[in-house]
Amino acid sequence: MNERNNINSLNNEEILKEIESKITELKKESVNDKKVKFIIFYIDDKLYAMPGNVVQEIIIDYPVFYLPFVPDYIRGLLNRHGEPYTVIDLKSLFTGSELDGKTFLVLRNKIDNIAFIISGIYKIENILEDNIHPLTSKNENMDYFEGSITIDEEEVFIVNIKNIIDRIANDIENS
Amino acid sequence: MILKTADFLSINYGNYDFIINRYNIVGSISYSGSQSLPFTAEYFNGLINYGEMKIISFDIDRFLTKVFKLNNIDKNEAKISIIGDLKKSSYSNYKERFKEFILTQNIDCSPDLFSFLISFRSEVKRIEIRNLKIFPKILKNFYKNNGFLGCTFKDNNSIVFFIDIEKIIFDILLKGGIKNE
Repeated sequence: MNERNNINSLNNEEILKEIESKITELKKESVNDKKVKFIIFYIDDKLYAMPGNVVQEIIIDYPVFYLPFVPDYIRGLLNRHGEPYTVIDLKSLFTGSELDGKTFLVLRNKIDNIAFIISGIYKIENILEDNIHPLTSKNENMDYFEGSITIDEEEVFIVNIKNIIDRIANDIENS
Repeated sequence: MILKTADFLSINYGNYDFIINRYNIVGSISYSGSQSLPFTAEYFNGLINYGEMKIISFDIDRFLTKVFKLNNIDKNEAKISIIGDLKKSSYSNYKERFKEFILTQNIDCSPDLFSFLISFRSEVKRIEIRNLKIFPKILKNFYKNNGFLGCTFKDNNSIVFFIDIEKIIFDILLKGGIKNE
């Protein structure tokens, strides 16, 4: 029966057209509007971002085993599937004060076995490439960041993993 | 397939274990005190008697508990001295430098043997080499140069560090960490 039951219902033909038009829209989006996935996380009450493609996993409540002779922001080692991962405290690196956190961002191990201790995850968001802003400020702490994005009207700095690892390697060499 | 294993002396401090390759350990004796050295050097507790010889003694308990901030150790525990042989060392220059050192310091002790002091919380364990892990890249060379070669995990709440006892002892002794009396 082709009768409409109420004035707002769509027939099958119309439903199919609606579905096809959505698919076309999505395809146009993916071709013209490249997006980058970011993990938005807290260190204390400040938000930071990390590209999703460098993060292997997010883990919670793992013991950290102390390591001597290295800078304080290297909190120690954690055990991930029997492999040792260096735990880096970004708050300690940025400010000199230790973070009281139980969440870890574990990096993909093509970089190295590294995990960052953080306060928690805020959200995971896809951001249009055009909405990633370069840094304009040139002070020393900005070496740790590679740009910024806007999340819920707040400017959130993107952590520069390479620069952080280079800084750590340099500090360890001079320990 | 033959599994590669090695024997290690394992020292336990609660959640932290430290293992030392048994390869150049040649004996052990109960510790009953030591004679003083003509210099002070942190963690060296003197000369012990081993048969007719005197051997320099390093307090590995004190070293590990201090650097790793471990506090679950009973200072009144009985101790043993583990005897190592520098002739089996993989560091060819330590033997010569140690000989020079004891001559310049005028110490009457064996140039070939050394000892380190541990508590009875220790045992010999056979460990599969494949279970030992190198430190992450960013730490690997630094720790190797400081006498820490790798680690493994007994369980989720404990770690085992593989240490190079000769490197630790002789780097401290020979790299200027001493004060003459």
